Amino acid sequence: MISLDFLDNVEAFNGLDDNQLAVIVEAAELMEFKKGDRLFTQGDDATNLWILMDGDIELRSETADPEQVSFLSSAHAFGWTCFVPPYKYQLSGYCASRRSRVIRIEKTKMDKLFPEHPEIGFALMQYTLHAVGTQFQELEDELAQHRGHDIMSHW
Amino acid sequence: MSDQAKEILARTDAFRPLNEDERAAIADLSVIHEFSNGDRLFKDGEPAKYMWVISEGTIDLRFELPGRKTSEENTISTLSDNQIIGWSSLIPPYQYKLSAYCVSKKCLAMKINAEQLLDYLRQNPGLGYRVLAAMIRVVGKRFQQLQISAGQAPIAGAKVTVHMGTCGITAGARAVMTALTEEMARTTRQNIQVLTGGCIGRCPTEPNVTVAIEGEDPVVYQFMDAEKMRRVFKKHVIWGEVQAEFTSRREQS
Repeated sequence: MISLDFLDNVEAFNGLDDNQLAVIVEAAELMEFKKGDRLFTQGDDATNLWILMDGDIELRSETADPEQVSFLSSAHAFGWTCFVPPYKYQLSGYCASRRSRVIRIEKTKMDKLFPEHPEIGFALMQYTLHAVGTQFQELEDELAQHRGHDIMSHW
Repeated sequence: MSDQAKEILARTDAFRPLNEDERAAIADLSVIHEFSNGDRLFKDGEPAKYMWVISEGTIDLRFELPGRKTSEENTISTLSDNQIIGWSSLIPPYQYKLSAYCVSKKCLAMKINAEQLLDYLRQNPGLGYRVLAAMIRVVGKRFQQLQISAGQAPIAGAKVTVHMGTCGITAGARAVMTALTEEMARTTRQNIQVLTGGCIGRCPTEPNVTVAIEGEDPVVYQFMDAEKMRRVFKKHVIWGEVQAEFTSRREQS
């Protein structure tokens, strides 16, 4: 069962009241995975937003060499690329503990509830803008460092 | 607020979903500024108080290097009419990550007070949802473009061929090769091959240089000299940006 107390701690739902969180509970589905199960695959259409309830989930690049892996903590929302062009998962998600419980919310369901509950849409868009914006800035930083190094070495 | 501000918002993807009244409300949070070539709109590291919409002209987003003036070499992105910049003002830590410079003769840009904008969107969550969703689409596409250009440039291997037939040498290909060799000596990149080639049947445009980036069509540069070669090396070979003004029309079509 998904509790309002748990959703209240999810950053993506920051600022939402109990009534709005209850709407999310209605749209959400609690799923259980065992170690090694794949939740989604890098490059697939991103059709769901996911929130880790308990256990461990790792996000892994199938193409990076050396392999890049990041582990998520409880109440972390992932799969926010369902709101960002080109609407594909950038990484694959795997269950990395004996058992993990994960909340799944279909994007199509969210799209339907946003007009009636715009506060939920606004909270999620703020979270997503922050998430994609931070990644964008990290890439800009990386590019600036590379180019800066190149300019200084040519100087 | 002026009709001009509302018109600018109407042309901008992130604000296009708004109706007339909503645009008027956001226009009230905005001020239009004019800049000349070389003027800086904001500097990296400064508190990001404003989001900007470019109404006219071209703006480079550049990183700064201590003790040095910025130039085209420092440019990470170039943006023009109806695009937004300074969206760092909408996300923590609310600090500009790059500097913005006007690089056209004149730039017209509208700055929107970001704190007031966020408050307004929060008070009107339906509108806030639509504006932020549209903004995410804009930022997402730009992020994707930057990922592609960044991914191509530093990773892909490159072959640079200086065509040194008799016609090429007569036209100055040796000086081009010398410049290329000097650039190669300075780079740390390992996956660039420098080759000499024969005449490719384009004697009137010698010295010709072909740059072939892995996975892309080769580009033939014409009327090359040492200075052009250095620029092609830094921009195209290293960063994947074709220098169209030096290419033959055949490759552009």
